[in-house]
Amino acid sequence: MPNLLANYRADGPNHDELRVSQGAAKQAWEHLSTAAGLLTWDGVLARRNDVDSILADQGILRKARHPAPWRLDPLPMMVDPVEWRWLEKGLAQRALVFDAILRDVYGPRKLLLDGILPAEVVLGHPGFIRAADGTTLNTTHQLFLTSTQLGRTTQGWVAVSDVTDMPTALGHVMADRRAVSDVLSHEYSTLSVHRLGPFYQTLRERLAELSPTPHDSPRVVMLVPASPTPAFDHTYLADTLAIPVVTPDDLIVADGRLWLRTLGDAEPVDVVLRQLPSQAADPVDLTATGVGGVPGLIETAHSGSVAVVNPIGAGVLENPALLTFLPDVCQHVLGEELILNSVETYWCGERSMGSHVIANLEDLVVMSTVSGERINGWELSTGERADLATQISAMPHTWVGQHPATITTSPIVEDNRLHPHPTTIYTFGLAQSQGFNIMPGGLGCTTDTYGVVTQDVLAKDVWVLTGGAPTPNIDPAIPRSRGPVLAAGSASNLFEFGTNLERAEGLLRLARNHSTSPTADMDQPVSMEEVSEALATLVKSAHLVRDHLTPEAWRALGVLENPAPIAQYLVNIIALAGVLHESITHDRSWALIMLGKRLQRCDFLLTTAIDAVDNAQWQDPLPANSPRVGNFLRLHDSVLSFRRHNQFRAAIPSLIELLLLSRSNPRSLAFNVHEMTMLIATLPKHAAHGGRPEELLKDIEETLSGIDLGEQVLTQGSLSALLHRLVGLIRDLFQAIRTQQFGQLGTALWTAEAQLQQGAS
Amino acid sequence: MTETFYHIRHSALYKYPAEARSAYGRLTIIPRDGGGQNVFASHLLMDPWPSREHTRPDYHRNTCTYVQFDQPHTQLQIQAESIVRVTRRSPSVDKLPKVGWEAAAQAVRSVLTPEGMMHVGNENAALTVAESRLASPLVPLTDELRKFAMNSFTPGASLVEIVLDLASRLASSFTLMPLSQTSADGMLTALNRGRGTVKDLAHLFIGALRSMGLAARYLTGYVFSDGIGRVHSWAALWVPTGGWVHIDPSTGNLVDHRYVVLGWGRDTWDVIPLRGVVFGDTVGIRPDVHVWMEELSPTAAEERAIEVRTALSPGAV
Repeated sequence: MPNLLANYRADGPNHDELRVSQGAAKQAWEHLSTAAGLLTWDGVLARRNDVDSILADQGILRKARHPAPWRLDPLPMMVDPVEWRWLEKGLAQRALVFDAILRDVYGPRKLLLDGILPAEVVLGHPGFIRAADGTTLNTTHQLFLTSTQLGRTTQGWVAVSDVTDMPTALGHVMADRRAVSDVLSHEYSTLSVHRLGPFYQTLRERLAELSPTPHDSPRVVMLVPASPTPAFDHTYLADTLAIPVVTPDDLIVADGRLWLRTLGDAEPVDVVLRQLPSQAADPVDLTATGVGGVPGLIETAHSGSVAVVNPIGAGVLENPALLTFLPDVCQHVLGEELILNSVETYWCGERSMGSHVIANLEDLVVMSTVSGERINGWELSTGERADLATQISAMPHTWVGQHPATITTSPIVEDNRLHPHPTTIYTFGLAQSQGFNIMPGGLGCTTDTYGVVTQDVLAKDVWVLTGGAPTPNIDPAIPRSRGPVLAAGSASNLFEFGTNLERAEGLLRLARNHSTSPTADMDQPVSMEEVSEALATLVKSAHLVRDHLTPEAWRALGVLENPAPIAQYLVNIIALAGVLHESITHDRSWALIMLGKRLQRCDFLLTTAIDAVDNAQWQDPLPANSPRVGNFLRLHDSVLSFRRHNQFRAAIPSLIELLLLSRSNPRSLAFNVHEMTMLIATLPKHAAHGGRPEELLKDIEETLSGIDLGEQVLTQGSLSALLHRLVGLIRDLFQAIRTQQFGQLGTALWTAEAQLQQGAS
Repeated sequence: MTETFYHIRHSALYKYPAEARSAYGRLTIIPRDGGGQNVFASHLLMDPWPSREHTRPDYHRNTCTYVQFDQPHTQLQIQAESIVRVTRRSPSVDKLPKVGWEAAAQAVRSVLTPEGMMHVGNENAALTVAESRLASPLVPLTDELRKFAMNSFTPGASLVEIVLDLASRLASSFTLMPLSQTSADGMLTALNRGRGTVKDLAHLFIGALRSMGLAARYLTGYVFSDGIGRVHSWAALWVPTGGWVHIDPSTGNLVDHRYVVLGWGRDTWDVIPLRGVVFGDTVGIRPDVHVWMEELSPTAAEERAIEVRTALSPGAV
């Protein structure tokens, strides 16, 4: 049998992780190649398909229209235990140095005054947030999480870049590990690979310990940008940590502290895991952000009533010019040599380094420390190089030159072979009470030759070998902090998902009626554009409630994204409704989806009824076998019920009974109003505005009970008036729920700065 | 010592088209102490009274107040009153250190070295000088600006003379527009058009100085002339061994006792008098802003100071 790995050729000029691996890593590669079915191409492809299907179940598989593309290679990177121990030490030291810089630049600024760090490197960097000056956490270290991109060159490991403002991808790392360890479960349990669970467990504990007020169960939230599609990375990490994901709109400063707006209420927040860029954190203290962010967040953190990590302004450490000075700072603050080298970096603000960069532009990567722009000097023409040199000379302190680091390759699975591709590892460090804990693993990431992550990035799991006996497969049970909380924004997303689901169903039914019976008396035929727009809206809103949907739900949603006959769409929509009913817990989140769904159903029923009644071809009595009756019943999925009970009666009173008054037909108004009353009863009452939705529901019930089918004959006019009154109440109910339950508020900026007027009195 | 006393009232009235649920804001409307002026008494009057207010120095040590309004309101009145003593006199140009601008730029560059720090007195002052030579969000140091500045900076010329020359060149060639016409276009558009607000003018002036390697910062405050007080912006240039020299590029002159400093920073974004966010279904908030200033005798100033200190905010009653 041909051994695929044995035939693998890393044909580049560099060394390759598989080809040059030694010790435990080499054995691990060999083990993987013999045991994991990697000897044959079919075996490798099978693994890749397995990984793909796991990602697809989570709704994150790369797909043209998907918002969060993620590709994962089935082959993990192997890191040797001896090598890792050295890397771990180097990374922990590096984190300590960054922490020392962070504490200093937002505090005494001694490093600048003592000339260890040039002032321009800190004060001239956009990541230095002056409003955050003097803010401190109640812990030794001010840097909480740090991430370093490691690459191996022929000279050994180097730090390619550091992420400090808001290290990301911790969710992906966990998801990747779960997928790969599932696909290679035998190898994962026989090889001794460091487990990642304990790191997340510690992260969770450390977050809780940051709480400014001692607390049995502090409220920790993850703050992410408001976006139509929350990142999978965020929701997955939040789930792992059992903390809610909130957007700026969910948070409000009041009474000197930060509050989470929950459904109809608010509760104090102690700790914020910030996944929102510093620059967008607070519109009051950060002038450039417009109205985004949480007004007052920076001042609240400064006052010490809430802990925000990483601290706002930690991005100042991402200045590549710092790399030039890390060895000196390390020596100054720790009295040690810097263990882990960075990519060789020259800061142009220092005269001799600046001249060196300008003299060697054709060999260097030049980076702006302000915009982050990267220029490969060797790709420029002579003229362009001269222009760049002029630019550098004008503002030398905002430029660095780097010797390009040529990154080693790892095997990745391509369509027809194993292919050597440059790969780096993002590692993660977490502050302990003393020192930093480095995650034994990380995010493997394909890059270009020089360690720059490209658009078509492929992720790899990173297996750090323990060198000892296999690690027991513990996945620590994560206890939930303070019962689950539903942020107002998430509540609103659930509700809107319900309405979008029902709206799509209604439109599909209308479209189907129109296509099967073009003469159907519908005032407005439905266009295919409307249908696909409604479906797209539905899929979009599904992404916002991703953590409530099962793999089956995603499969049904997947069909809606591709061209299919209307009947096929309808079946999938109904399947989704079934999943919602049978496969998710009937808790508060479910109640919100159903509330949206039922409310929208009432709206659709009444709107279509009004269209029919206000129609010029009104006919009373209407024979039960009229095609118009059939159409209307099909629209509201009540053909069978009608036939069973009302076949020989006059149509209009029967329709009223079946679709407005019936308490057993799930399509009738009375049924849905009753259900909504029960759903609303499970939601918390808003202190100030409680009761409005209940009042409206009661109004509808009273209106319905006033209908007397026996005596009084409903005329076209009185029926129309009745329906209009009902639809008005339903719309009020929409409004009451949206503004009062979810507290949706507009925000506006005081614009005094543009309005200063001269004046005398 | 000659001294001048002012009573200043700076007020803003926000009328919302619909009820605002709550509001959060940051105010820099109490003048800062020091640098030739003392705040004798100051008071913030607000209606409604905020449910929480907290005053602290900001990064540049300006007096900064954070206010939180939790109760629903449809209008908001904010007024700062202060009694200020100004002892600042415009220095005579002859008395200022005679240093060439290249030497000054060199001193700025080396201000954080041990020798350099001797020119400034204390460490934090040295950091301020170092920071004031860098670009800031509203004052990008572009080629265009550098070319504009270059026209004035003849090699070997004296720093103060050449900077005052640049200021008067700006003052005579630039058409000032009222602050109500502030646009988002920025100082470079103003440079090309030859007209803009006093903010644009101050930014241009500061940018020109910075692009020559000098340290310059932005000031906002009030100027009292012809019995009328108005909001104004100007600049300060750091002169080695001479400290910060305030220059008004709208007149081309050194700043004197008629000016009261509210705060300073790198550019106007660091010293916005009133900034905040209102929650509610309300848009298009246009505040009415008024500044009123009166010059007082020393005795009147003492009496007024007592009144200001004991005044009660209408919202607080």
